[in-house]
Amino acid sequence: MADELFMNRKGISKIFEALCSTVILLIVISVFSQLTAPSNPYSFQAEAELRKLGYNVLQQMAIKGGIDNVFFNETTGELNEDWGLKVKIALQNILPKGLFFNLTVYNATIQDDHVVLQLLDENYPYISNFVRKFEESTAVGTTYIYTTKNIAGKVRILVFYLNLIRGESYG
Amino acid sequence: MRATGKKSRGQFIIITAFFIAIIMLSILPRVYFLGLQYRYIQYEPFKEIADNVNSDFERVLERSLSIASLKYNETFHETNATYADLMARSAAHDLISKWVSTVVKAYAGHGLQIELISYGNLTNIEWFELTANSTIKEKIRLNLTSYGLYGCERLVSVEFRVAVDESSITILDSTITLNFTATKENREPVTTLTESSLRILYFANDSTWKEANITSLSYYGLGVYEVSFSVGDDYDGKFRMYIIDDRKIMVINEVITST
Repeated sequence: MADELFMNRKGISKIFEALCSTVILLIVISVFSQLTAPSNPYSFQAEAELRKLGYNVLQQMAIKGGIDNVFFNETTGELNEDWGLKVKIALQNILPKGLFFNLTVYNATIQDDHVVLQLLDENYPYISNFVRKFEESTAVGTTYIYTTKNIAGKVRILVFYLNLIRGESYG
Repeated sequence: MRATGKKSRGQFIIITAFFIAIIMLSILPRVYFLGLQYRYIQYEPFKEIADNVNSDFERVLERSLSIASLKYNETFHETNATYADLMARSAAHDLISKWVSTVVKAYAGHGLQIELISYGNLTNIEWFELTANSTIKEKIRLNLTSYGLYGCERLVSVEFRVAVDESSITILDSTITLNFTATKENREPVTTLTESSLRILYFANDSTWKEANITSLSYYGLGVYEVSFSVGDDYDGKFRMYIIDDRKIMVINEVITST
């Protein structure tokens, strides 16, 4: 009887030991897997691609003279009224479908011996194909500088901020 | 004795589990830091920024030379060429300074530093000869401290040059025909000149400059053009060709012929 009781206790203690070991290993494995989970390669690659795409789009517009032709009147050098609409159409055609953009264009002006970036046109504070609020934290931003041609004695230094975001980021 | 042996074998399981746990935990920091390192070596846009700054620097030099050459033409007087030169250089310098401030401000978060190195005078305008040229030359050195990029240098030179071939000048009645060669930096031919790029004034007997009538402009390739224009009976042996290329950079050639 006493022997049977001893054997039972021993069995329980062995089960207890096994349980303790399992718990220790499970805790360590779960911590290990949490901390060593690989970074999502898709998200990194996607960000790099968007950044390159944004830069290439603006670079192509600049090289082909699109910025001067679309933004400004060829003879007076004044800003065209419909430049924002034309740029929006151009970006919609150039960028792949399912990609949202938000472009802000600033003009560098000198005030009190300091360079100030002012919106190029108050009528177009931004150009976007996205109806909801553009969350910049999830977007990939590209900055681009362009010095315009000398048209009728006017040369402007423009700063473009183009934010891109993939459609799937918004579900 | 038997019971003690069984007991120690039971503890062995826990000891083994602890041992495995210690091994795993010792590997953990190394793997964790590798993961962190991967995040840090993710794509960084330094190439795009450097490319944009360099390409726009070329553009701003073009625009500066355009402004400078037009300013030179506007302020030039035979008796005061130095003043015109100073005004032209100042106009170019103002635009370049504004550009540097703008670029540094726009890329403020990337630790951009720009240094410009001049070679002699910023602009060089040599006109009123058979060969006339407008030139600007500057070196840019940029650092992107956030990405550990230092000492990225590029020498940019922008030029518009027109050389009149003296041996080609023919005067028949009141029509003058000549060949000239238009080139830009690296001796690349300028192929885009049209009649509207040219204006010719001839010196008249009454010591005034009068407008000549350009009758034809032909392009022969490699930057060589042939222009024909008619002058009045009061032509007094010299004329000036005002030429502006598609970058709005100007040169003026002065040609003296026998009357």
